Amino acid sequence: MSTHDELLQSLLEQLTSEDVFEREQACLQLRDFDGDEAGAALVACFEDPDLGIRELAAEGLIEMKGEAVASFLTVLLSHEDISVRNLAAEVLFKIGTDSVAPLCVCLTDSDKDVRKFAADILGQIGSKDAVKPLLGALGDENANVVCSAVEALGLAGDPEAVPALIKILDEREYARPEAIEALGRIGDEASLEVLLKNIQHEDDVVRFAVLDALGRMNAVDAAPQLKSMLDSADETTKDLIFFALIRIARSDNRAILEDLPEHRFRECLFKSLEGDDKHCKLFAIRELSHWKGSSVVEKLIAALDTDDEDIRASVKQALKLTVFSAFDAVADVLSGSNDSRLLIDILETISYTGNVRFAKDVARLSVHEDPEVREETARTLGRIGDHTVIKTLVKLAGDENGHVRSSALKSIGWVGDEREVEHLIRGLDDPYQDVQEAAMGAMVLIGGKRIIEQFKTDLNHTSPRRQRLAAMALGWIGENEVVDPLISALNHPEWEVRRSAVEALARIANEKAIEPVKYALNDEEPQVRKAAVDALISFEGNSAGEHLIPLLDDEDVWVKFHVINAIGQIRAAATVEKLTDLLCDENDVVRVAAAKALANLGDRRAIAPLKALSTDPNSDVVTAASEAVRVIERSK
Amino acid sequence: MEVSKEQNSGYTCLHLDGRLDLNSSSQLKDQIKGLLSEGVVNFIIDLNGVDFINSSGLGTLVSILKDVRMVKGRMVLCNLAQYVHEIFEITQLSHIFDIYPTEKQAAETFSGSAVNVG
Repeated sequence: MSTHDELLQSLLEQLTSEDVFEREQACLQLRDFDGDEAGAALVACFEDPDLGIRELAAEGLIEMKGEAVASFLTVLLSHEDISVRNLAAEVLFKIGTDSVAPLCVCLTDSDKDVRKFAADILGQIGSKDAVKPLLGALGDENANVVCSAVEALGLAGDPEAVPALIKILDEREYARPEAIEALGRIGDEASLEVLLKNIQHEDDVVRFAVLDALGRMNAVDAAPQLKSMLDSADETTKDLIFFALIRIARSDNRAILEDLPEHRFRECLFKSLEGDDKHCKLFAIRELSHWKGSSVVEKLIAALDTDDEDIRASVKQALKLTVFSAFDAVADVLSGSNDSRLLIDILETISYTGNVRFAKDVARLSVHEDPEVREETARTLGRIGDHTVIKTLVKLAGDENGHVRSSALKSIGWVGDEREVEHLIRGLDDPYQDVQEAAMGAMVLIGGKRIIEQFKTDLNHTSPRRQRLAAMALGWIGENEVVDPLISALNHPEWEVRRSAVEALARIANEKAIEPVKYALNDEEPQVRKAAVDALISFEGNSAGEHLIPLLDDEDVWVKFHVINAIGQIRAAATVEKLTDLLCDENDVVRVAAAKALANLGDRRAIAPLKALSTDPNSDVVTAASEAVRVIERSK
Repeated sequence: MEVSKEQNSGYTCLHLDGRLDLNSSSQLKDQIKGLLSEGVVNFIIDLNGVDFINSSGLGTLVSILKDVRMVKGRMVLCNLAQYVHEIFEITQLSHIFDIYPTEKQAAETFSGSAVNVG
């Protein structure tokens, strides 16, 4: 006996141990064995008293698969313990196609319950290989087996089964609904005639099954008959007709709804919103986005009450287009609901429309207990942008929650009311950075003397952060009257303030700032020198080149790199000789940048020194130099 | 920089392509000033094609926003490249502008504007 066989035998013995842990270990190890013996042993574990072991065995068998395993399992379909039968059925289904042949054999088992079980599992697997044996099972003496076989044939979806199913529909009253459903699932046109024949069937169950089947099979040809039934149909039948019509319409057959009377069309869409079919719901929501009025908006709002994100997104999209047609309906929700998610959804929708008629109702939510609702309220009021909302925004700017305050201050900036400047200034003292920045942004947008004075004062604030914000803000305000304080800020002890001041002066482009910016080229901080380079180029364009030459010897390599790039972009011809010298710089990035800048300048004097770089130890330098030579030689 | 104009119901979309610096931004500002004088007040600025923006470009956008607000109009930005977005964050301009990921989303914000009129 080989080691493998010995181990297998030992594990099989271990499975009979009284110790659960021992059996569990054996079961786990058997899962790694191939072969019928291991499979049979795991199937036998289905009778183990311990649930954990039964589940381990089931997982192992699903991994093993194979017809032999499935055959062992089918034996358990007649087990006296229903939990064992159910576990075997579940594993057979999960094994899938390997189970089909053994299950087909079971369709002729002497036990009717096994035959039904087999048909049910075959239906779940949905294999076309089972169609012929299932067709044979339609002649079974047991009604339950026949019904299961009919269902399984529907799930297999093979048109070959249609004639036999039609025969069942005609001859076996007990299997009629199942046969209709199966025909609907298969969706073959050959069954349309018999389905339409039963559309007015006296038996509700049959009639309902037909309507469901017609919808399922997208039976466009059935649409006229379905529509003609609407006026005389009872409520349930009418609902089913609506569902059928929507199902047909959403499959590229929208035209079938167009000749419906308006109230019927709307009713049809509303019913679909209430149904369970996601695709029909999405179709109805898209359709309703073109409608207007309270009833439409109310139904759409009600449809927001779902956890399905696709539906919610679609409804919100539709509401953006319809919400303004139902102010009262929206106001009712805003005042009557305490559902935060719903309120935020509605607020988002309103903020997209920015419609001032919602302002009063939205403002009421500024006292809502949920800070997320208050935050969205502030944002929405800002988007509405009407001065009537300012008081509410000011109140929200003093909210206990930082996100709410930030949102409110930003909105005040959008609405833009100079009278509220003091509230914005208070925002600059807020403990939260986000709130301070929102206040600064709002002040930039509003502008005006009082705000400029505040930022000028803030340049000397005790907090370096406030100083930086002030320099930045003055730059964004960009009025000429801020030029002098910004020039003064070039001597500020904080380099970030000096840099912001340089950037701000560049934006304002006042001539008074040119000399001070040139002075900033010598700032002790590299970041300020880099900003001054950009600023000077903004002022003087390519004439700035001569002032930048000294910086080509800057002690900071990144300043040097920045200047070379800048010179290359403005094509400052006066710098060719200096750039050529830099081709021998000790730093790789400088040599690459110099080669690229010389390419931009296009001066033929640079060709020889560039060619000399062909033996440079750095491949990036060689590539840049060779490309530069190519560019210069090509240029005139 | 190239600016292409697209007139839509309720807003005008300006698609920017290229560098947004001092020179090009003044061109943009002039163009918008011209539109404001014609009574066009709602704008989407599509920054999808902007591959470079400096502080002059940003300053011009702030200045344009202020001009638009003066006439009770709206200006929103969309399609910011990642690096442009980062610049808006660093400079705190994300607190000032109304920014949308796509032109479609930006356009939806103008869908209700027409109803406000009158």
